[in-house]
Amino acid sequence: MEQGFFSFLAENLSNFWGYTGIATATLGHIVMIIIGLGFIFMAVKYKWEPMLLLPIGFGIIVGNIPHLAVLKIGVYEEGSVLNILYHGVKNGWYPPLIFLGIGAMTDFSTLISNPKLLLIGAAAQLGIFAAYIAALAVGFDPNQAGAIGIIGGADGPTAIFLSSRLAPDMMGAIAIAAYSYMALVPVIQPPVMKLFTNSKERLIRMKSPRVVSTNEKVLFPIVGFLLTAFIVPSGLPLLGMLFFGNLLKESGVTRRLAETARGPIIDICTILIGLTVGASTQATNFLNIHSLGIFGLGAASFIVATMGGVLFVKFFNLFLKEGNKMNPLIGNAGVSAVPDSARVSEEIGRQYDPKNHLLMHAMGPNVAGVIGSAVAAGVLLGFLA
Amino acid sequence: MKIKKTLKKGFLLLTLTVLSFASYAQTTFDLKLNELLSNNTENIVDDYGVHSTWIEIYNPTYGAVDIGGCYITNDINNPKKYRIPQGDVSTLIPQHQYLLIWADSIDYHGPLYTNFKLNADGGYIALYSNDGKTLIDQVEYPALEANVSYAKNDSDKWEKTNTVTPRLQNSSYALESASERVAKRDPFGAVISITAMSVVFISLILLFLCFKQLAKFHIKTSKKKAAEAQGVNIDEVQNAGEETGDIYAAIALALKLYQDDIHDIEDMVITIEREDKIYSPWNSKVQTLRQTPEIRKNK
Repeated sequence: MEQGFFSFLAENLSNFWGYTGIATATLGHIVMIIIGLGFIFMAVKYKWEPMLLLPIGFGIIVGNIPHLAVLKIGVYEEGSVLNILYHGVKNGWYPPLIFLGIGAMTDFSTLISNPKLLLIGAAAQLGIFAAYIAALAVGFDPNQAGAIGIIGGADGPTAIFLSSRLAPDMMGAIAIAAYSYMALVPVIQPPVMKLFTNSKERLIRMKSPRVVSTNEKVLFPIVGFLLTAFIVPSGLPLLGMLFFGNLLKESGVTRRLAETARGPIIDICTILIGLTVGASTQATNFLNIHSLGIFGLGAASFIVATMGGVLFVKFFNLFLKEGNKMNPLIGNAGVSAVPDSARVSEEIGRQYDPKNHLLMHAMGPNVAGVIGSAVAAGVLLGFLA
Repeated sequence: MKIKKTLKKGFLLLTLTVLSFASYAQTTFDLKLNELLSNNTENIVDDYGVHSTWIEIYNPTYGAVDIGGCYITNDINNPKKYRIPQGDVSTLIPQHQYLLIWADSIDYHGPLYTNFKLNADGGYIALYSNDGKTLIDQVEYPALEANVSYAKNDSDKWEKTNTVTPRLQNSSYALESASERVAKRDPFGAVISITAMSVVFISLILLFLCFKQLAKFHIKTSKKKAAEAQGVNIDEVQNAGEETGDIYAAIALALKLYQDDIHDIEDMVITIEREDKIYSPWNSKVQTLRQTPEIRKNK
């Protein structure tokens, strides 16, 4: 009797041990958990994109706790809680909702007062296509190359949206690369900006933006949406939500809706997107040579995008009269890492002239970059999906 | 007043036009005959396992179209030869989708089975609307070898083809992914990059031009209004918003300091000193509790 009890107990304990994460853990799981902890450390210690790096970091840990598939708890096991939440990423629901919030919190006034800043937002998308060509050259398929290229747009939701459509198996690595580099904007961009500008150009003072009327602000999302969506209908989910959110803000009659869009909706989606994208990066599909390639190409695309923006301003200045010239240090803000890249413009500008405030000018190309990257994503989706 | 009325009329007209286009966009009149197989020996089988001949219909609209009630015929003199039954879900063609109608001459096999067969030596097929008079689409097809279909190509022209694509787009496009096509035709990515970059630029240039004109209009109007208010010439009005960056920075700093001063969380100090509080019956719990009922005893 006693023998039977103890053997049963031992058998149960042995079975339980087999179920535990400790027994089933692999080196890959441990490495991924360390990466997740690293993300949390960067978010807490250095405050680098904490809103995203923290949920992603914790998501990586959640996704890499070893467990048996029969338990149906993982992000890839159909019907599990994480899997249901992951549908929002896989089917591209969260990014447009985040864009709705971005639209509701973005002030396009600088852009409306000086519309030529829009073109910098277009030029900085050069990084996307440089990375696309480079990715093809190193052997990625066109759809994978398109998804990797969008990292250069410096827009996390857009990167997730496009990669979920073009290369779902690479989405985790692409999202993490995009957000990591967005967090590293203050590190990556300044050397490029300094390299491609001379001391005279860095001192250019720009005219203060004029006051923009309410009518112009209300018209901007409507006209902006009609123009861009008719040209690139495939960008409809992102562009539609971005401009709709902005209309909620600027119309002045839907204050509560705008507040909900830029508050609870964007917060909920940010939490869910961060956690589930993190959880989707499991050791088996993340720790491979492709991920290394994605990170390398992502860094290159950020550098080219910054270069594209800065050089475009220099080129544009050739056609502008003295007094109307733009400071090339705002060119970097064409990548849509809002508002970090605009802050970099301000900081670098003030290093050379403490009284030269470039922040408000840089916000123009910065928000133009959001539109530009959404359009670029739409074009890539149209060609490659 | 007159302008307002005209604008109202114009808006109404525009709405009606859009609505009429919208309603037209999802009718049976947009349906197209897309492909047919009149000599089926090895191609797909129908629901009864037979290699029947078939006709493919395409819905090019952005809405589902119900083909139920329409007529399909192989006789130019008899447009009402076979009426597709109404009220069946199988007759609904989703947007940009294809529907196969089996021509096996046994119409009781189901709503998508006609009472005639396609002639392998050539013939005629037409689709009529539910009045049996209005022609939607028609095609005359030649004699076809076994398992060779007659289908519309990318240029919308009918031709014989060995690539039989039932319920699919009629071209090699349907058989390979967009990514595979791009890999073949643009292996270095130059074409896609140039095209995409141009599209991004064109979109933002259009936006730039549009808002440049709008800005000019706005500046002119606001100057005019300011001139009227000040009673001066329009050229004498000073441009608003031409302050230096320092002024803006100072305003921003002042706003930040002001906002920082208004904080939700107050600094708290823990003390053992008694704090005097003014008594107010409004927050007294005693006042909010139900009083113990007084028991009255009958004498």
